[in-house]
Amino acid sequence: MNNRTSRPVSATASTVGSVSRRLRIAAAVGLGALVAGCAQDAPQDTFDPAGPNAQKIQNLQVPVFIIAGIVGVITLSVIGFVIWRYRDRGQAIPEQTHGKPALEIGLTILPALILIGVAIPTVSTVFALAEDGDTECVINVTGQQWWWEVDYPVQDGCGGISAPIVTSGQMVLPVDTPVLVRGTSRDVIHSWWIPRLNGKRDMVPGRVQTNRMQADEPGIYAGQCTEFCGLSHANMRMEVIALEADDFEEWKANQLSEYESPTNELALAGESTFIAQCSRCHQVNGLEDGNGDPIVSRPDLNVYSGAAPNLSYLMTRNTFAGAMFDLLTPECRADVWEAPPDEFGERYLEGVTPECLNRVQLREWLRDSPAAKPMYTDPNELAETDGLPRGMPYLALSEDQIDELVAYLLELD
Amino acid sequence: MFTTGTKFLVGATVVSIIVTVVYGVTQDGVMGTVGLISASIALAMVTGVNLFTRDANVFVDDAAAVATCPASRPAPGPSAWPLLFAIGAFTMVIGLVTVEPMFIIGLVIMLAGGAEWTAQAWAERASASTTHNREVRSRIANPIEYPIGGAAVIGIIAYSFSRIMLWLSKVNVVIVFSVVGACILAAAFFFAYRPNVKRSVMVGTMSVAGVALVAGGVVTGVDGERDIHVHETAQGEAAAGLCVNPEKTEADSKAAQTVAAQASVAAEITLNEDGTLTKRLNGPAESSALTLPRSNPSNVVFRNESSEARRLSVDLGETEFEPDAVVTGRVQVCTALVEEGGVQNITLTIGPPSDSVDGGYFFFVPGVESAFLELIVP
Amino acid sequence: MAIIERPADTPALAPSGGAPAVTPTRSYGYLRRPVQTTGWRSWAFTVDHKKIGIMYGVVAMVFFVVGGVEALFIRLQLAQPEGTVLSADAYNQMFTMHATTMVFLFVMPMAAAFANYMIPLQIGARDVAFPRLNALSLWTFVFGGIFLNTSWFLGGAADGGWFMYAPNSAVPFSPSNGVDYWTLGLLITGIASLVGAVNLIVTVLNMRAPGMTMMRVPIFTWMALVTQFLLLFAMPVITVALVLLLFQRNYDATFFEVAEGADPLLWQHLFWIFGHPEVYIIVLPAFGIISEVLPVFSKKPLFGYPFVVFSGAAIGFVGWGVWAHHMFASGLGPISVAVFSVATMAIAVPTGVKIINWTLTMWGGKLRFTTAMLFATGLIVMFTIGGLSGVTHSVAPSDTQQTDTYYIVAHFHYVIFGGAVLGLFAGMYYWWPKVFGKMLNESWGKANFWTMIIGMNLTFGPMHIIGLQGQPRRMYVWTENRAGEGFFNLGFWNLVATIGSFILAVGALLFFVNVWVSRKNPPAPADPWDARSLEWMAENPPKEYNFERTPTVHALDEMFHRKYEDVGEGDAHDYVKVATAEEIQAAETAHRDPHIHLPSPSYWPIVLSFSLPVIAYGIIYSTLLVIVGLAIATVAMFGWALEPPTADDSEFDPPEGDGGEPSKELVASV
Repeated sequence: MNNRTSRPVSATASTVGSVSRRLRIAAAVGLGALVAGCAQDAPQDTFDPAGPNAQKIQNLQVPVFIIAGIVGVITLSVIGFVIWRYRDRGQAIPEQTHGKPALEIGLTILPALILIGVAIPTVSTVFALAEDGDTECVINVTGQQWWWEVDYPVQDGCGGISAPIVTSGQMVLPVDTPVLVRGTSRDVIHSWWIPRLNGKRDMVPGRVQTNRMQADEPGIYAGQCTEFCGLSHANMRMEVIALEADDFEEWKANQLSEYESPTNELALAGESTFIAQCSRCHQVNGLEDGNGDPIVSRPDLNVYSGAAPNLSYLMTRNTFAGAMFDLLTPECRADVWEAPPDEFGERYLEGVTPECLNRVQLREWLRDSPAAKPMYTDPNELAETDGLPRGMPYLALSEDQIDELVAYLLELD
Repeated sequence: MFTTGTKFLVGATVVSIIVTVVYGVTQDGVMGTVGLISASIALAMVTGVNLFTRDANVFVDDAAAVATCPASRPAPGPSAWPLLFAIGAFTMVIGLVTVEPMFIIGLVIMLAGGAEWTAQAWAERASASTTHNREVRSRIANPIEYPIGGAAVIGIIAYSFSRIMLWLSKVNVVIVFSVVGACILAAAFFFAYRPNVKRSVMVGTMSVAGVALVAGGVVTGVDGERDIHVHETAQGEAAAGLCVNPEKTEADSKAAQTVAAQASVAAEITLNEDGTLTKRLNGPAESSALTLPRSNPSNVVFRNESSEARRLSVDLGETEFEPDAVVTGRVQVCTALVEEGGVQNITLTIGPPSDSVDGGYFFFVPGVESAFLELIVP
Repeated sequence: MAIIERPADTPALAPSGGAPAVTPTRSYGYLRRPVQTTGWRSWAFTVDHKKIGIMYGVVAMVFFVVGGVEALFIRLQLAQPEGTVLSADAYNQMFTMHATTMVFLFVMPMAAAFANYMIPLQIGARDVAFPRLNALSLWTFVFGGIFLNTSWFLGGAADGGWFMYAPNSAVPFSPSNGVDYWTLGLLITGIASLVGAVNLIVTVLNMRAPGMTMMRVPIFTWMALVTQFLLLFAMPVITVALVLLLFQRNYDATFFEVAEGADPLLWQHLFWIFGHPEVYIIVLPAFGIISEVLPVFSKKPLFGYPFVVFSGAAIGFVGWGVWAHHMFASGLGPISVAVFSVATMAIAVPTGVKIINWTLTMWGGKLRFTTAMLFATGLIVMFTIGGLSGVTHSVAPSDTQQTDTYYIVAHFHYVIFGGAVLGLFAGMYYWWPKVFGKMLNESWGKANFWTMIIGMNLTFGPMHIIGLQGQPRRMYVWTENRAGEGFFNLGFWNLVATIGSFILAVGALLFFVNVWVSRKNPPAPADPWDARSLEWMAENPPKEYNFERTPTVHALDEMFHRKYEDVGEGDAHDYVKVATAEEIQAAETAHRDPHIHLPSPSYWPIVLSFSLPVIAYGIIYSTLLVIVGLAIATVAMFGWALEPPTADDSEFDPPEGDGGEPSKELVASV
């Protein structure tokens, strides 16, 4: 899949992008033009904007990199010339001059002028990026060790949301709609960063931070927690999913649909295993106990951060365990990630079908989660957290229970 | 070499050690052994000192010794330490019958006077050279005097200054602080640029400033601090039925949270003049309900725009708010009473989601029927 | 230990009128001073700034190796996706300690080594102002560094990153004692830095040779002076932050605990108000070194000496106003971000001035590319690259994309390795004959330089690409899913960086090989480089008392002007060598000072230093140990304070005859 077709930026922007890419590397590495075959760059490429906020940053950083590159080339050329021209070839001892003040002052003012030229657009971009009054939709993200919770407050924006939607790892938003991401954290500082949509924003406990996001076209945008947050910092990933308006409505409707107990026997057994083993932390909306009372999970009493992912409609997401693992097999994952924009919504909304389920890693996770992802869950080491684990503890599930649970989780769509 | 006194002390030490050992081996009980060990140590120390000073053994026919013997030197000069020691003792006794701090002050003065007296007395007999004796005194006493004295001076200045600052009103504090700072700066500049100014002028200025500071500190300290208004928040005050009371003021210990709240407000709720509650968040308008994240501290600012003192209360249904708290009735948290036009912060950390209780969570204002705002916790 | 003094010798009896007072000459009550001139005692208890400087350097090099090995582990782990060399926990400790070791235990002490050794020589002094304090700062640093590294064996090192952001540094999130070791270790080494800063500031301001005005002070001493002022003001800030953290972790304080109403950003502000000046503390001494090296090997004075001095001072001032550029993603609000963004650009100006001046120093010169000169030139080139990548993220919006990615890692390694470390190596090759009296081998030196420079660019160059492709820092693994394909894919460049790091390690190793190879070199000539500043008027290595007589200074580059005379007429210049270094030294010896006052060695600095880690272990493990440590500290402080100003003659070994050396009348100083 060629990335230039998969990301149709307007023709001019695309040209600017490829020219700038060469120049920025020339500037950064100082190796001159590295002409390269343009294969697919990493999904977190910082020079590949897909929304207006990232584009504003791009419009600023491309010229800055070019200027830095030019200054670098000139400076290094002069140094190179001096090294070559004035090496000791037996010339006389040069004049013992202590400098020429006029030249000095001139060479001081020159970089100052260049920097003033950089400073003016910088300041205006800083203020332009801080502008979020035009947003039409609010999505809350909350970081904790080591996953992101995404919730949609009840609102008129986002096409109207009548009851709160809670999901994790992936944020779904309507395409071409300015969205206000309001974020905070439940424990340490995390950082929300979707490079193709906007710069990063630290999510600080006790503070509510905002980040405007808007995607130009449907697709999946990769991100990664970028503020060091402890043991599994490297595994704390997230994705933004941009959907066309009608696809987004469909997604929303599904997230608010009624819970139905599974009908097949294995999954039904899984439901009771889930209630017994999982539901004290993991919420599944609509799940009821034997008396018909709703089961309310209490992660605030069982996990140090006070939260665990809400697993309602788990199979509408593509990842689990803080987006560390894919719920999809590699082939099915590639189908979604490489889908052209006009087919993307359809493929994403298919969710995780039984054929596509990444059973291997899901089972490994259920079998021994601390072995699959570094976390603080060893009961012997929890004295400092009042005995509460940070992450999903080892549950000692039997293989039969795991079979049941996998069957049950597959029904959560 | 070994004079009578030394022989006596060596003997006494040896005897006391033997007695200690014998007693310790043969007798039960700890106190006696401890006492004898102490006696042995004390005797050994005295013996050591005596040995070291050669028992002050000066022969009258030793011409050299006469010259070097401290006793042959003129009498030492006057000393203030006995006076200080006596003042300390007097204060201590007064303290015994009045207040404890006075006793402590007296004790400290007495100890300081005694220590200085000891050092001086010892130094004056260290050698026949008064210059040398002065140096010896400085070398042994200064390493103790300077740190303690410096700490005491800094402490007195800081404490007096803080009393004055806490006594002044909030506005005057700024003025006085600026003026005093400017005066110190001006004086410093003056002395720096006039190095020949008389020492007495400098000392006089410093003394006047010092006395004024301490006097001000005493006066204002006695008069007490200004009224410090604490903008309190409240949580878990529900059991007393406080949150439905439109009148009673109740302070909360977590007043400091207002500091953080200024930087990190999740939402602002205003009680309008018409008796309605409206909320304000950054970002586009949501629905009429307010959504807060689950099990995470969220700061909500309450702004009272009505014409009476009011408080903001939150009703959290009938579920138990804390797992082991036995709460009858409804679980509620609230701010303290906020005067008209006032602002207060409440920090909410809510574990269970709002749809886990009948009727959900809501904000209300006691005494204002129309004030209602739904609170959603997903 | 009694503290009693009295007369020992007795004057003639004066029968009446009072005998003349006798001043005692023998003192009791303090330990006989460790006056040995050989053996381990001559090092452990020395107050000689040269020995202290050498020990600073040796210990710093040991920590350089430790930090380098940690770096190699990091690169090995990241060579492949889903690396398995280290566990997540071990990796977190590794990068925390790599940064901490390199910054606090290698670069800063190495700069202190040069400052200690060279400043008194460059200003024509016999020692620093407070020799015993100098020993104190050395040993405090050594014990602090050892203390910090013992955490590896006592339950794990700190794992919160060298920036140790709250609240991740709190006990629930970092339950091992690692963070406590880190906090206390840095407090201890902070004492070393503060004491050293005070000492060197006083030395430079008060102990310059006659004629040496501030504008004749050699440029290295100038830059070191600015560095000491930065230390003097920066260390208290980090100390405050560390004490808050210490109390939060050990005594239930809640300075950074959100649930109690605190704001974790407080830590970030405190840390970076220290942390940014720290950058200049790291690079300015290296700038000073190459500002000495470049003129010598260009046979020209430093171009625009006053501009270099003032730009150094300007960096020292403006460096305080840019700390929040480390926090552009923290949500400070657009006004703060804009202000700090512009301030950060402003500091690029004085930094640029330095690069321009170095280039113009070489312009029109007579360049000899010795190893020292190669390292100095390498610094200019590498630092230019690092400086320009710095400008790209002084642009705050751009920084929100780049901060906490490998692009930043690349940037600051070009600044710190390319700026500071190359400069320190230039200094080692330049001053090695001064310090040890032997030249380092030039062929091995050139191999050392080229391997290091290639290794460095292979290690840190690719990190620009890795970072711009979105790989964050401090991740113990990276995943194939986020690596991309084609020329810029993360897999290839991560592997290149790892290979580069091993080449770099080989390059560093070659330095040690060179030291070994050169150990039997013949004595170096008095002035091997045809140098320009005052330290070359002393012998190689200098005598304990540095100069035969205190030199009188007539010009900047005093040594050059004593060697060369301009015989050109009018505007024409023609420099003729009128004296060799040997002749200049002989002239000084002929007029040597009859009496030289030198400080006596002392036990107390090392004892006092030793008490600090004891107290620190006590804070972590047992109050009893704190009391023991405090007792040691008290004894040491009083022993120090009570040490008499004049050490007894009887404490020295019998004089070895005149032997042509000036008599040493030893006078203790502070």
